[in-house]
Amino acid sequence: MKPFAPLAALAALAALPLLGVPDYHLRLIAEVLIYGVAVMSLDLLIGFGGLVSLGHAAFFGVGAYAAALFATHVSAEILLVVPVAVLSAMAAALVMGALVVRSANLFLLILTLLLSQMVWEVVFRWRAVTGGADGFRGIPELALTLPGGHLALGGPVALYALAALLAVAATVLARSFIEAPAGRALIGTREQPLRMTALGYSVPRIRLTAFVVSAAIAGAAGALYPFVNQYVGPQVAHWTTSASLFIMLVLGGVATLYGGYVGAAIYLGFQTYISSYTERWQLVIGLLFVATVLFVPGGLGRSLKSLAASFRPQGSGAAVAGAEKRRVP
Amino acid sequence: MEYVVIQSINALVFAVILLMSGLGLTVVMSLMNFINLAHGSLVLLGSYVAVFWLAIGAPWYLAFPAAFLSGAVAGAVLDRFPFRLFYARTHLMQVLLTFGLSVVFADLMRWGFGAGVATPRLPDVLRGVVFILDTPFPVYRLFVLGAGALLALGLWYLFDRTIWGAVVRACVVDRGAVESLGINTQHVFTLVLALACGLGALSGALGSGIMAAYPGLDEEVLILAFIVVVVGGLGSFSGLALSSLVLGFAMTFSKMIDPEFSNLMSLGAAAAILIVRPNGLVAPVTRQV
Amino acid sequence: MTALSLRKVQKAFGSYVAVNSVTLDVAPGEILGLIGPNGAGKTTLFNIVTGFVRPDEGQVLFDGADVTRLGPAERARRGLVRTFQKSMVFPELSAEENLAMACRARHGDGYRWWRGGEAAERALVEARRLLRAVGLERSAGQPVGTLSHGEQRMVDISIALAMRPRLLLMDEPTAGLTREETARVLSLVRGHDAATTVVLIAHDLDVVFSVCERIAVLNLGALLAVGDPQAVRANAEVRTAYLGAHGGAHAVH
Repeated sequence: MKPFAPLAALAALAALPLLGVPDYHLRLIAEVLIYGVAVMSLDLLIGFGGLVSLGHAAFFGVGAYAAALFATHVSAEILLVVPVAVLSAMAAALVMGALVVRSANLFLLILTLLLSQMVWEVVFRWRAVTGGADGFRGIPELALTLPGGHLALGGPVALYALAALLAVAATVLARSFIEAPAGRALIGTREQPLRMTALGYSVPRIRLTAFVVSAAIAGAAGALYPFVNQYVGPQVAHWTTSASLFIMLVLGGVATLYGGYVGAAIYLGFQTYISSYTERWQLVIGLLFVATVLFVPGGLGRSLKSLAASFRPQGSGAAVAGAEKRRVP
Repeated sequence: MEYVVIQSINALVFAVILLMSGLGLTVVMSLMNFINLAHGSLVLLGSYVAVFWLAIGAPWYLAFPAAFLSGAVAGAVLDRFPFRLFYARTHLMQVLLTFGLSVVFADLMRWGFGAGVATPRLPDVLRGVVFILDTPFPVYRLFVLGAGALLALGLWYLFDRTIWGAVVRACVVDRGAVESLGINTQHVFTLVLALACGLGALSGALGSGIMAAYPGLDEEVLILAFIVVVVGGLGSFSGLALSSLVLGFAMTFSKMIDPEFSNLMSLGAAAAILIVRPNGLVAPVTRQV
Repeated sequence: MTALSLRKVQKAFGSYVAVNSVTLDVAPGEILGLIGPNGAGKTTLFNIVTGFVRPDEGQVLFDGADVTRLGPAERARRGLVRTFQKSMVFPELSAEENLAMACRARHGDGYRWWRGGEAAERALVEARRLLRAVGLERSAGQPVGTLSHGEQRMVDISIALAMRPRLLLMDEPTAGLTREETARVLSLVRGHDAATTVVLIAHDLDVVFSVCERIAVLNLGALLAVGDPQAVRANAEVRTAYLGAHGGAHAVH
């Protein structure tokens, strides 16, 4: 990836508040970015690894609760909160990844669902620690301790800035991982698992690595989530959240990484704007999803990419677009 | 001791409900190689049909065939569009399509039937209790137990022991070969889907007397049905029956031990099975290379 | 010491005996052909040798060591490499990435989380060299899925060769290829490192007789005959197995 691309994205994102975009929009965009990062991390598993998991909410939720609990009971220092959340999510992924190592396809789908629902059950029932069904509020604002003093990171602009930083950093990391040997090996295990074994690779190790890296990114996104509304509830770890992430991924485009942001934007945008017009926003999302599956199975994000590629001279984008089209099952 | 017996019967009732919900799903999965996540919606549809049928005072014993029919018709329509386009596609695409449809149906039903809980008005003959070992036990539950068991047996016989079942199974393996025998496989698939959806609706109707009908039931049933089918091992009737029993007993008895964490225990039991046997309880031996 | 030894290897699937007490020694550096009618158990035997299938009885010795209990990945790491009946290339990755995948496996660099660095360069250089050897260097950056069937097969075999195998098992490497492509594959097989032992399954007897120094014939899971091509050709049981009880008129040329 060209080095200036992330800088350009960062600059573009930084421009928004400066252009006077109102606070409530910034908050929505921050949420889109946070979910986008989570969906992108799911894309690593599903799009690149072929590991269709319905348990991703577990990592997102563990990250969220770890951040909220740590900020409330220990310290709201962001340089501590985020790593704690990331490490917690990675620990959860070590367990889940190890348990699902022999599962594939439908069995993987159901087992990840079961395991993540078990996480939800713990969050939901352990009222003393997590607040149970009500979740918990009163989470302190994040803060950054600098040599000079203390920087409070509350308010929509600060949150938005954090989300933007997270998104850029996470995308750079994800792209780097995909192009690294571990990422290539992950793609290999999706395309030809038997061949990978025949080459001496440990497929379980590759998959476990994917789970842990994916969870780290999802955990980082989860870390910021409680600070959007200074509240976290058990819904964040429920399998329906996993399903929502999945919908966002399909809408945005599988195996594209940035598709996560596109899908999150569409989903959350619809949720926010359509729900103000009609109660039937879920119906609209559902129909949009079905339409996408029927007519644009590569996801809307990918179609945009193909469209852009077709404007480039023949030979550079054509082969890639062609190969991507073949990708659609 | 009596308590254990009563709870065992409860567990059996629950197992039968799981079995019936799972049947509609596995019929389509193993006979047509099609994953239908809209199955839960059909169960909920059947529940609502039963509730309304009983509410308008029509003959109660026709409520269940009515539910079956409504499911079957829905299934026939879905087969025509859009399912037919996806029979040859990958499982993932089928999952995506049917999941999206389930979201659509869920909202349509919430719109049409409201967001509240709809409880059916059971006929007198099915109301009340029977005394087992000096403990009152709802008659309706025994009715469900009996009806469900009969249904399951009938289906097993139909698919495993009759020519028609063999034809259906042959269609999945080699559609062309069956066509060359002069059988219209398109019709076969339509019939099977209609049957499976009808079954789903029927299981919803039977279950409505115990669990009522409400938005969200479709999701809950779908998840449970999926778990039972997958844990049982795909394409295996005995596997499904076994996993229904395991899960039915796990859920009932874990409530006895600790109601707070009963779900956690049941989920754990199901997960443990899939961890130890990654292809389900009754897994076929297939050739990898 | 033999490169590969099978001692009374037995495998049954239910009541169907796929491999029936096979004992076979393969000398280091030789090219052995494994032939037999369809369903004879050749691929199953390969699966057992490479560790994808556990035998019911018997032993597999590789370079003198008993590998019967080892998994396929471990055997591959020791230099026991195979190709499959179907080309198992990575269609979305480019040709050089396909080969780099194998090179990295050999270097033990397959699991790094960050990209770049000397190790990555090394793998790419090696990959390009392998592509040059099969005349595909112009397609280095192309997704392998867009290449022709024959070209994919060449990449497929190059992936195996990138592992610098000590023992190379090839399952019908020339199936579906044109005469020219077949010749290219055969010269690859012959021209590689002379120290590599090769066992080759093929249905095209021309291919087998032109390349193999010795031939083993499998039928109904049992080893019918082992010997040099002339001896095998003349063997009456082999002819019966291939040509039926009345075989003989259309001799295996």
